[in-house]
Amino acid sequence: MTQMLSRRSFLKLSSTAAAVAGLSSIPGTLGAMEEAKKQYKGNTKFTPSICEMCTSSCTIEARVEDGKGMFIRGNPADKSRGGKVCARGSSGFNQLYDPQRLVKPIMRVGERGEGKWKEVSWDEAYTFIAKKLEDIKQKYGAHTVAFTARSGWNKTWFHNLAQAYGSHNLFGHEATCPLAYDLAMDDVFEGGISRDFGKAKYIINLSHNVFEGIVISYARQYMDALAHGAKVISLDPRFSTMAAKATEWHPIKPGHDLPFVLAFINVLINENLYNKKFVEKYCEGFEELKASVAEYTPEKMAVECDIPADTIKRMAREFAKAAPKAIFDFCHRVTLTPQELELRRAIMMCNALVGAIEQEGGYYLNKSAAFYNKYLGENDPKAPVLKKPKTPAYPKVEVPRIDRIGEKDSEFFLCKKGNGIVTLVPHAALNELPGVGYKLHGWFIARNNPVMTQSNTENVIKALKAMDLVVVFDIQVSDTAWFADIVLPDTTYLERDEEFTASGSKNPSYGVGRQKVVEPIGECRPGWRVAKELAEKMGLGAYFPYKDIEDYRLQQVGDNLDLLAKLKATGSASFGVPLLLQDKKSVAEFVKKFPSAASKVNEEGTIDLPHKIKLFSPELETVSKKGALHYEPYKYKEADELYFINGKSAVRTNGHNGNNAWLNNLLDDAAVWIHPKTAERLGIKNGDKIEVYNKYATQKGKALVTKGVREDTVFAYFGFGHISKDLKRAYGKGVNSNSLYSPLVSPNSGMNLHVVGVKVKKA
Amino acid sequence: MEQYNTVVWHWPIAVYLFLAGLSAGAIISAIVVKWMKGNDVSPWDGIIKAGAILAPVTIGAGLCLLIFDLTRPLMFWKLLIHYNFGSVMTIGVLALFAYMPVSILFLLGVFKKELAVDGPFKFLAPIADLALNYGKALEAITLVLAVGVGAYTGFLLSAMNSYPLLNTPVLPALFLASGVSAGISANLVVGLLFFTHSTKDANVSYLHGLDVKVIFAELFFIFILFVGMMYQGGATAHAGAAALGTGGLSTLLWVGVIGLGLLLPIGLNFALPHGVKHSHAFVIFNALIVLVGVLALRYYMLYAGQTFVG
Amino acid sequence: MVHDNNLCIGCQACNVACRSENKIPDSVYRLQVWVKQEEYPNGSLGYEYHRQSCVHCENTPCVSVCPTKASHVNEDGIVLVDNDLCVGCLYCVAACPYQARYVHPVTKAPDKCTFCHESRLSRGEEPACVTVCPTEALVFGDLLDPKSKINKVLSERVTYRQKERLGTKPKMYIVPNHKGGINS
Repeated sequence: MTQMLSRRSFLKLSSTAAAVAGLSSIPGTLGAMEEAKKQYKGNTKFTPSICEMCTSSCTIEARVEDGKGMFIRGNPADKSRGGKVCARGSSGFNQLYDPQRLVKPIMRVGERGEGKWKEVSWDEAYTFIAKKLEDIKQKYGAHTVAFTARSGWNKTWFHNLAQAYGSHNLFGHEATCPLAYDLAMDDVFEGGISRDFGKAKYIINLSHNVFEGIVISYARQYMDALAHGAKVISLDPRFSTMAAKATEWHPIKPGHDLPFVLAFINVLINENLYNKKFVEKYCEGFEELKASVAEYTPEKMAVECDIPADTIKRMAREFAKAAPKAIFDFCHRVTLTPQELELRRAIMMCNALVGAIEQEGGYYLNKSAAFYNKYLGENDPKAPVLKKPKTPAYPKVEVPRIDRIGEKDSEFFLCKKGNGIVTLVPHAALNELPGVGYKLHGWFIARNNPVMTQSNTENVIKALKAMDLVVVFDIQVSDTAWFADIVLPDTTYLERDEEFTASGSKNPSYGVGRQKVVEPIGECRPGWRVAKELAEKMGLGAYFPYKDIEDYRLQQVGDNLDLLAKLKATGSASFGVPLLLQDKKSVAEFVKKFPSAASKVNEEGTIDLPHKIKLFSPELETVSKKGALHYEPYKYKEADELYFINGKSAVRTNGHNGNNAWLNNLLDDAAVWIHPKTAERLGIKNGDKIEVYNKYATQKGKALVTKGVREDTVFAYFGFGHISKDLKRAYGKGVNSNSLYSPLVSPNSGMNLHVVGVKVKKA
Repeated sequence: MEQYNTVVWHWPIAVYLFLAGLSAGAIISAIVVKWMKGNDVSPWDGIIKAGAILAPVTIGAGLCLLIFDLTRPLMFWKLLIHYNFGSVMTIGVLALFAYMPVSILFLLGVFKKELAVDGPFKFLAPIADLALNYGKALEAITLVLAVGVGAYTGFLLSAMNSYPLLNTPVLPALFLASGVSAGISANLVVGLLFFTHSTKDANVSYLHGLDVKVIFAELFFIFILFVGMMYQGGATAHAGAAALGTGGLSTLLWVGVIGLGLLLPIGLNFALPHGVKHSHAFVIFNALIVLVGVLALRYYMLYAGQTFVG
Repeated sequence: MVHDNNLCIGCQACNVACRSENKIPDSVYRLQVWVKQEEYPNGSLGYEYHRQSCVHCENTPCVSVCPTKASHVNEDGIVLVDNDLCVGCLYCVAACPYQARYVHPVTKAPDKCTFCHESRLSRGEEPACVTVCPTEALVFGDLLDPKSKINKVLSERVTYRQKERLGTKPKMYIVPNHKGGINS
């Protein structure tokens, strides 16, 4: 445990973890010191931080010698990740020292998309942006500028700026990836949930490829589960790495996962496999659920999803038998059907039906400090809550957001304002959306690449070209930056400190955010600074009441310097003991640590769940008449077309590191997977140049003939076919999947749809 | 990716192997002729003179090629002072270390008159005398070293078990025979072109006849090399079949090595009338196609050996 | 070292970490993991993961052919190249049955995986690839220590070694996939 430090002696420590010799002056801290570290030269620094190569945000430890970045591994103090990183994480320094990085602000001098730039100073850049924003504010209103910030590291700064400016059109990137399950969680559980993969004995996985779309903690947990005899069922139209490691692989028809889950629930209910006691005590809406799935028999749904009825029944029985150590994985990139909200809600209901909630090997509620503290008594120590600096009140905006969140009848009512439905932004720039009353005229994009990641590419480009102002804040001239008016150079994650983060899994946890490992290169500036300086240029400095990030962090922790020191030295901290409300052992441990929590324990020795689990959603019923589960068949493609689907490669993150030298060398061009029978029919041989085309675009690629994909489906890794010529290594290589997808925004969830019909021919 | 290309040694090595074999064969055939009655006194037969020049010159050229083919050529001298007696290359270095001076000694002995008596290099006379006085012993040692040099080129490649086509005891025998054939042919060409007046027809006839026998041996070695591979089964048989039938290399084998360099000389030898086949023009032509065939053999073995790994 | 095909997911973290730690020039690789789709006799599919790197033979073809002893085995059994003695004849590159060596673009001497001998081992750390492997598919240790983790793994899991018939006695052990067969 760290000792209490006086404020003055603490501030003397540098913002990175102290050099090897210095750490030993903080007795007992975890960061000091593996024996091996003593073998390094005296000026070698080890700094815990968080990776930014993808959104998994795994903990890392970066080694810097003589001020030069040398090696990155996982943070050894992090048990769930075991001190490991993936290929992208290992390439961090390669991104930092990449000569193709943007290190000075640049302004467009030709047309949007011409790629003609001139360097400008930061002051010029701020002046330009401030003026343009003021112009738009005067002409159309500040709310016509959308502010998108990549989830996790820039929202705090740029959403603050946006609201100070007068815009409430705030967005993250979630609608292109996990939003639907966030909404489903909020609807079904009234909070976030996590999955205890490691202890599960039966996992159903619907295209959740944690071994290529690597999430280090999930990958390790899945391997752990498999090593301990768990059965993993992979339902995926293509033979992914997950499918290879799983116990069974079933090539489900693309876009038809919902029929499978509905039939699954049908079997659970009609064969009485569900946990009656649990459902009675902790769920509501069971009768409505039972009625709504009655028509979705395995026999009928087998035709839809292409999984035999007997298989569906068998899986439901095995799942129920394994409960409570059973997980129906609700996946990550939830873009498989326009009925995403229904699909994720249905999946979550499966776990609820068998009572695999808040026990080992099932789902559990995320226990943030606020949640956890509710179970603690008056006299127990409380989990620290990070504070936000006080800012003046934001100007009120009278008109609705473009996604109408906050309005009474908004179909997206489940979505938080900080996430928003970003997939609507291009539509809102080109048209006045119903019930909105205005068009968007500006887009401020921080570390997001909608041209590559929001469907579809052409639509996004059209929208960008129609706007009055496009500002991009990124580390390179990304495909979206290619069409911007001004591009501001962000630091890489290794060059900046960030705010502390608070979250919770089985107990509250805190993270250091990111820590500066080396000084910023060139004129790159981090988000907290850019937002603050731009605000000051616009006369909105009052909304940024901190001197720098150090000041901000001190304000976050308030008096809790223990927490501050621990986070800086080891990268993370947690509070209390893990708590699983329905697990007797866990509850007993919890009460042992916090005796006054004993009053919350019920007669079974467990603690009641805080909310009823909703198997039927009254709110969704009111807003969209979708309270019960219902399957609406959707025409993804024409009869003579093939399904086109995507997945992640382990060496590339969707939009942003395709140009990384080391990663690009490993995989610079992703082939299109075609089944041998389909290939034969089309006269295509392995390695042939082919064209993949539909009404949205034509893309050139190479064929990979493999049995690892359905006959009616073609697959390609996502994140290829870059169109920014300043991404010299990645430009033009591979199929740009995003240009082939439809611009559909799914109802109630706002997700993009990553299943579309294409034709393939030899080029 | 280039680093996974199984072909590590390229044409300079093929040419070196050709030159080394030629050098060894040239001096062997020169000495064999020299030891024959009638040739064992000065003035020396043109063939002997040819061999005496060819041996050191070709091996010297070959070694220069080798040094420049190294990826770290300025370090080449380390080969001369650091040894690994388990490595064929060290044995080769040591053999060449001994072979070079003795072949030069032989040259000095044969050309004593032209260099040290009539010519300007008077100071070489005592060394040339040494060569002549201890002629038989020196030549015996040279023969042994030359056989070693001729065979080592084969052992060099056959020591690698990563290449099934090369990893055979037949290779050193094949290369030695092929080298002798090349040496004979080179001696004939140089002797008939540059030392026309001193070259006796009887010797030419003898060497030509010897060459034909050596070519039969070569054909036999090539035959058992591939047949042996077939009977080894598995990956080795597969590699052998590929080597015999795939692409330009197999064409080079059948047309260049076997057809042009081995079968054609034999065929012509038995088909042509006596007068034609003993004419200088034909002998030179025959020698040239044999030389082309030997070079083609080295090139084929080096590339095919490294390409068809089964 | 042990490379477990069941745990390996072909993510190339080892590949990149090796490059990062040992400062390998961009055009060459000390380590790659090749992923190949296989069809097993019963028709099911799988992925085989081949670790392409030096297997540190005990009966080293590359050391026996090196004319200057630049290629040598140190007392820990690690096969190394002493650049001071290397002339660049590339005999070792040709003799290696595993295509483990490449010519370093700068030093022009053959280079290859050294189990991070000069970088991490000398500091008492595990090789970079082992350090980062997300699924612990790589196990490294002292074969001569009966209590080491690697010996425990070798006694619990079935392993094979590549090209054993050549008699090279590699020290890289492969744990084959539970599913499918072995193409040795």
